[in-house]
Amino acid sequence: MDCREIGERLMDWVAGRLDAPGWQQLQRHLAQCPGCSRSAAEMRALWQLLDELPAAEASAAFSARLLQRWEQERARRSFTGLAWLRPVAAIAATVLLAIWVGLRLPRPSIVATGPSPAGAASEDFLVVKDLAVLEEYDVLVNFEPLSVLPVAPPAAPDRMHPND
Amino acid sequence: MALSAAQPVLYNFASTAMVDPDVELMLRLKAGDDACFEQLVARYRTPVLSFLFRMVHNADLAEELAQETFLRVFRARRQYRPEAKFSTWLFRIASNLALNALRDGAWDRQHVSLEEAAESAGPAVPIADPALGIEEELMRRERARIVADAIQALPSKQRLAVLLHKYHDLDYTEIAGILGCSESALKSLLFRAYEKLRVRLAPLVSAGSLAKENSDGLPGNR
Repeated sequence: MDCREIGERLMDWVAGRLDAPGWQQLQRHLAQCPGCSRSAAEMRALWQLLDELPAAEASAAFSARLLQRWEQERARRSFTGLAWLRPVAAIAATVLLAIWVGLRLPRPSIVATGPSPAGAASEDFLVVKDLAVLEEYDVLVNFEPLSVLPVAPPAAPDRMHPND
Repeated sequence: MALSAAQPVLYNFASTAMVDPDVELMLRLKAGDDACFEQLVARYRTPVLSFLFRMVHNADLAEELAQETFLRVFRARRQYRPEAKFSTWLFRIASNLALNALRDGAWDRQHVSLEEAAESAGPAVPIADPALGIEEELMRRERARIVADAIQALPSKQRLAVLLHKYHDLDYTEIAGILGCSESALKSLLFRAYEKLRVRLAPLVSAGSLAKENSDGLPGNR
């Protein structure tokens, strides 16, 4: 074992990780080599000095906070465990929404004027539809600005229908 | 900087579970026994927190990262495969989180020196020793601060290797697995890191080695 190999061996030596043959080999070298012996002494001093670096202990809040976050994870897991239900729930929600919208849509209001034959229902509806205009008929007839407008002469029936 | 997920040593499934009781706990957790999670936390809370505290140099950030480490273990339980010791996997998660936090500057935003942390009501173990006098206690604190600063000055990967090697007694195979490098590369990395520490802490190291040599002659014991 030469001095170059000693450096890496010293890490194992101070950490107590050398096997018995390796330890004896190292000791023999250190006994004959003042340079490596000094390095070994410094390495051991360094190793002991590093022990003075403080460790850390968990605060009281650490465990409580971790437990809380863990419970949240577990709750989330329970929810994601029911993931197969999601498409079913989506379809059901869509159907319910469609039914609700269908019920809420405005329907055409039909004024019942008494029993009438089914064939005349559409004619009744047209009359009712124009009822508001008919109610304003008098106002339109007596509307003064309209009286100043030129009145077009009525077209002659023979000119409109030359072939009749 | 995230570490490689490489796992250089593959363990036999059954023998790993037999040898490592933590792996057995993890496998039970994977099977749905949530109580095992609390056992794992109880067992590794202090080592993980200490590692992170020494790594990021900040008590609050270390606690936050430690919690995240354990929660990631829980989240990943279904994908867990006992290919290495449980501690290797756990410290790899913690290491990645620490390196990411350092890269993102979380350390800069929340920096609290070890000295401040020791004097505050934070989670650092009080280093006051009632058996020591005030002067000795002050000197001890000063040495701790100098050591902390020297470790903090190491490049993050060297710091990580030293912390896992010195304070957590992980073997080369485990540390190499965490760092994602070969064992020979790890030994070289550790050697350079310890050399830097020896140079930076030379005044304290020389004093210590001289005192030791004077007391018992040639160094070397097991």
